[in-house]
Amino acid sequence: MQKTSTIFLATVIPHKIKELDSIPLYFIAQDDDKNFLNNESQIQKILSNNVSDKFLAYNPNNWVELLNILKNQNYSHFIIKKFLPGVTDTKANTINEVFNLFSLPLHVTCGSGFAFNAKNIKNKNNYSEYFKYKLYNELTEIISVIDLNDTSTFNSRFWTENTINKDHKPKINSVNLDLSDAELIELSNSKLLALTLAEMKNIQKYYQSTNTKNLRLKLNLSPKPNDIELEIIAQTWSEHCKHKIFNATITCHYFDSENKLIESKKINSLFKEFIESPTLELMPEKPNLLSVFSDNAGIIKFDENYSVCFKVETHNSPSALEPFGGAVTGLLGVNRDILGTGLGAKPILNTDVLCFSDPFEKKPLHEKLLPSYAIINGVRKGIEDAGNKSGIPCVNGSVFYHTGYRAKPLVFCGTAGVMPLTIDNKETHKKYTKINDRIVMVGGRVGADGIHGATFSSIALNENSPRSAVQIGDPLTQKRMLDLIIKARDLSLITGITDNGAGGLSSSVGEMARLTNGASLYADKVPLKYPGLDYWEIIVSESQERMTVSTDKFDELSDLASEYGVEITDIGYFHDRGYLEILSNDKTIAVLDLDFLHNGHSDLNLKADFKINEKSAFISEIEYLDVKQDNNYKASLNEILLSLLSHPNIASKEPVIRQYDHEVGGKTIIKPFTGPKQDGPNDAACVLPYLNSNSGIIISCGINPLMSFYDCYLMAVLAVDEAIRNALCVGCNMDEIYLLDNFCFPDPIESDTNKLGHNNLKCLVSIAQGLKEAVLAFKAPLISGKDSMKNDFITDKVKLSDIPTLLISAIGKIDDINNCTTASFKNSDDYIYLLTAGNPGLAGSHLQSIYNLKTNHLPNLNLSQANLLYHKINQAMNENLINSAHDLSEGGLAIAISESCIGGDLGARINISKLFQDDILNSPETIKNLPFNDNNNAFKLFAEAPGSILVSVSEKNKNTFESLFKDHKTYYLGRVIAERKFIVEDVDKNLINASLEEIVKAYKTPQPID
Amino acid sequence: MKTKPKALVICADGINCEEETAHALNKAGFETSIKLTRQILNDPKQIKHFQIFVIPGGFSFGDEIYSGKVLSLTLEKQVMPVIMDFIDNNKIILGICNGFQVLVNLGLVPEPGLTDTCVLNHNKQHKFINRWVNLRANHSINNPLLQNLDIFELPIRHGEGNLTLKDDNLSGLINEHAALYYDSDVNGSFHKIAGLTNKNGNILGLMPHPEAFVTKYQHYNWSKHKDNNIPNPTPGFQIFLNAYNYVNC
Repeated sequence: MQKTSTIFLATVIPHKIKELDSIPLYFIAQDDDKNFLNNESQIQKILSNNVSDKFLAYNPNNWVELLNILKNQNYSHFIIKKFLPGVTDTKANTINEVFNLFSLPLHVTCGSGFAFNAKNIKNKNNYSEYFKYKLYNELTEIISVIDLNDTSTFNSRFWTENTINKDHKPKINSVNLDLSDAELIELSNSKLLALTLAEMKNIQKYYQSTNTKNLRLKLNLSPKPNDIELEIIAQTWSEHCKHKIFNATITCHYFDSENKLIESKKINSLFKEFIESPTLELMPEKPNLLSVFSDNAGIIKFDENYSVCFKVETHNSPSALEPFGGAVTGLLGVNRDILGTGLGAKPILNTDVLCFSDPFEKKPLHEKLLPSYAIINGVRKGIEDAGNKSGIPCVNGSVFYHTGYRAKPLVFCGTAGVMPLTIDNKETHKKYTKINDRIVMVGGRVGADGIHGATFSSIALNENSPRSAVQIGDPLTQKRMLDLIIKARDLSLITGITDNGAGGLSSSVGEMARLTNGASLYADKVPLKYPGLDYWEIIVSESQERMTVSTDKFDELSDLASEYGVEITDIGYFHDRGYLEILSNDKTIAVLDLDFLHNGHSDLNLKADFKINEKSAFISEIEYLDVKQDNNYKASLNEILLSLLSHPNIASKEPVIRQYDHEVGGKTIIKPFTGPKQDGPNDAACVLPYLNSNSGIIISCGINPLMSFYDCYLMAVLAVDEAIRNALCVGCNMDEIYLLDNFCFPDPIESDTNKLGHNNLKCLVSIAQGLKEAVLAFKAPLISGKDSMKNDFITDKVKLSDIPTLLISAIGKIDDINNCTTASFKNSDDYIYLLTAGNPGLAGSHLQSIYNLKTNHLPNLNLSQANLLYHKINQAMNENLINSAHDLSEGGLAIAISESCIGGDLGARINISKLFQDDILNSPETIKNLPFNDNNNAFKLFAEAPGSILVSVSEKNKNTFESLFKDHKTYYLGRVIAERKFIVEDVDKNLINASLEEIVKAYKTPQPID
Repeated sequence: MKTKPKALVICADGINCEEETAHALNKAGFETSIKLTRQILNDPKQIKHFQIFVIPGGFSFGDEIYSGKVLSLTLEKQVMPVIMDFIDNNKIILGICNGFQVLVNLGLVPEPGLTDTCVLNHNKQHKFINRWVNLRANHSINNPLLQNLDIFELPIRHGEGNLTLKDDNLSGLINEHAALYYDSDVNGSFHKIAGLTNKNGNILGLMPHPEAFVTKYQHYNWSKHKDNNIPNPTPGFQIFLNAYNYVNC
């Protein structure tokens, strides 16, 4: 639609327009002035429902009539919002599809309108500022505010202008690398390449080599590097893609208290030594591991016919800038990871774990940081939109609030998928890409959106973070692509597949090229959203909803794709010439040696100095306090219970979870909530891999960031323990549990702007070490993972760093779904026990956060005991001895019991006189100095104990149960009661007597998330 | 051996409950084919080989403009005459969630031939809701697909299930077609209506998901440790059995 003449405005409005409710605006361009008018009734049929809304259409000369309608409803202003050029407009895409179906020669772009009355708005001077993040995000949208009493405030060009520089002819710019060191660094910075000096010099050297020169001569290419090549190298070598920190050589020096060097050890790679090696060690006894660390996701054999795979990604940087788009593309991105695993797995469930800053914050610490509420609500909405529209249930997750996530929110998106073990006698967990297979791009088109995502996420946020790295995402396009790919896989039309995520085609084709040792890609054949892109942009653009597949049956694939309404394009072929070649009009425009491209980056060398016997702990630039506490007031146990229950990290996430479809597919058989009132939380989800299966997949997670302030090693151990306990509580087979690690870290490389880098590195090493120990103790191998290493915000004035965070996600198996257990109490009179292999602690607990306790009293976990205990509990579940199981986590024992009561709609009467006596004797001073009116019992009830599980048991099974657990630390606590009360007693006195209503009310305190 | 009645489930373009819907139909005794929207649009006549046509839940065409709108526009343009024949031959049309929204947009419920009487608007909370709700089948009207059901549970999973009438004069008419009610006001729907059927009873549209409750394991509170009185057959499955019995009579 190049020659547009008149643009009509169409809208549908309800009879009474509510203030600031969104009104759809359709800007409809036509070839011929008469097209709109001739087809107005048809357009009305498409855009209006003719029942509750009224259709209105205006040409540019009479749009004032719309403003008069608003004015007559007592509004003073009208906001028109539209997308910035190039931003995905899913609604317009769909409507244009319909116009096409009805042969209407029209083209629509969409916007929305909001009417308001100025007397209701505080900031009258600057509406754009006032509505920023409330109604629009300036990175993707623009608004125009019209004063209804002064129509000259509206410029009709606002809705007609929506241009991208389409006349730009794609260019190739050669790059001069004959530069000094300082100039090389400047080049890397100015082009957002995120390459180090050593790497820039490697590139310099590569172009000077005879082999390179000969290859370029042979292909008729100038010996000078060009921007396409430099960008491909930068994306491929980015921290995001190459994980240079996890593969760095780290020299660790250990000093004694007098600073004498005791020992030096070299870690060749954190990944190899602490993540991959324990898995390799466990492999002989884990026959179901099919593929670990090599593909987009780890793959496990599930039964004789199917395998399952699981991957968790982070999307922190995009979510910090455009929370909605960041979350949508995060979730759709990890869905594609699963779709690109093996020969293509079908996503069957999503998970989301979110770490946000203080939701009640008054004002961000820096103008470039989005307000916390905007991040929280945008991310939540994005997960809803992406998950629900894709038809993939969101079955497990967590929301964690702490001011230590001010630099960037952490947005962990996970997806598990299922595929048949074999198709046409081919094992699906492998790829079969071969020489002469075509390279096919499937799905969306390429635009200028998402350029530099990989390199951008490899640096700290700053004032100049690029808007082009942000995208919106299009769930419909992806859903169609997903349906197509699963079908194409089943028909054996695909020989290999990977997703276009970070680094775009440069990464997907560059990676797949390793399978045959070469690929040639025709940049001019890549379908574009709009003309005007430079070649390098086409190659590195991360435009969403695209997969790259290899095929030897392109024509059949193409026919199938048109049935599914998916665009596919043959963009090149695989070969074995040892290079990645980019062509345009059959002329080579860029070439890179594959070996250099994948191995030419520099390894990092880092150094960490440890004090023997000193724990690595995170040090933050700023001090975090949850609340200011009145030191003279001594809280009662009842009060502590209710404040903990209403803490945002503990209170029910039900309002959020109910907005995510968590059971589409019909396979979610243990859901986020259970109990007669559907309000008792479960510890993990159970999902069937396919309908009719008698075995289930268990999905859980563990995260314990507060422990990073005290002991990073322990933090990792506790995260693993929590993920495993959560899975266990639903009935997971303890021999069939597999883990994923996601590290989110502040920059661990020390520099002038990152003075605490060295301490961060120590934390990183300790967390990796703790992770390895826990993985080996539980024999729960890591199968996939991801790291995000630059979670900082740096400007001249302020430096913020996220808390070092390790998320452990678990995927396991329950052999017989009838043995699924839930956290809720089942029957009154059941016996309540605490089974534990750990000792409770105060440091890092929520009791500490709320009451600002100055203590470093750490919890403790006996890993080998825990492993034995969990196996025993699983055995007891399978023998029908346990009616409910719930892990002790945030808030400790009293919170766990409260949650089991809520889920059962039952009460509990417990006596804690014998509980944790040794622990109290071991730390008398710490406990004596607590600020409560009953310190010993506050400790027993609210300290957080790893390795601890609360269970309930029927009277008839009591003796069998007790003898089964006689070698484990077992506390009998009391009984489930029909009366809806939570009663806690000591030897001779009543400690807590709370009604279930009070408990439910506190637990359901409204969330700071919409 | 008697041949099985045939069921057609439409999929693609953002529909996402086709698999479990087909599973439920097969379990009830149908032989089910899942066809892409384009396959149906290109060859609408194939519909007449089936005894039941199901439009399952999902987000057809991203639910852009209005939910179910674009799918109903495309069906109306290319498939409507075949669908009308199908209905006249006393075959079943079942629209679940997004499928119900499509049936309303097509004007097939409350009654074919009556267009623009009602729409399914945004829930009064302006939020998507996934939870299980209590429902009541209306047996004061001809309601064959909900027979053997009285008060029962099914999950809802929608953002736009708030039945809104064009004007109040239509309330009598709509009530005569109300197949299913929510037990409480979950989304602002007119008279708590959760589903509509035509006079003849062979067209049913409903917001809740029967295909999501065809085994006890799909219930939110099943447990071998507690007797939860989950009915057998489960209510969702009963609806598919009713459809089977209807076409097999």
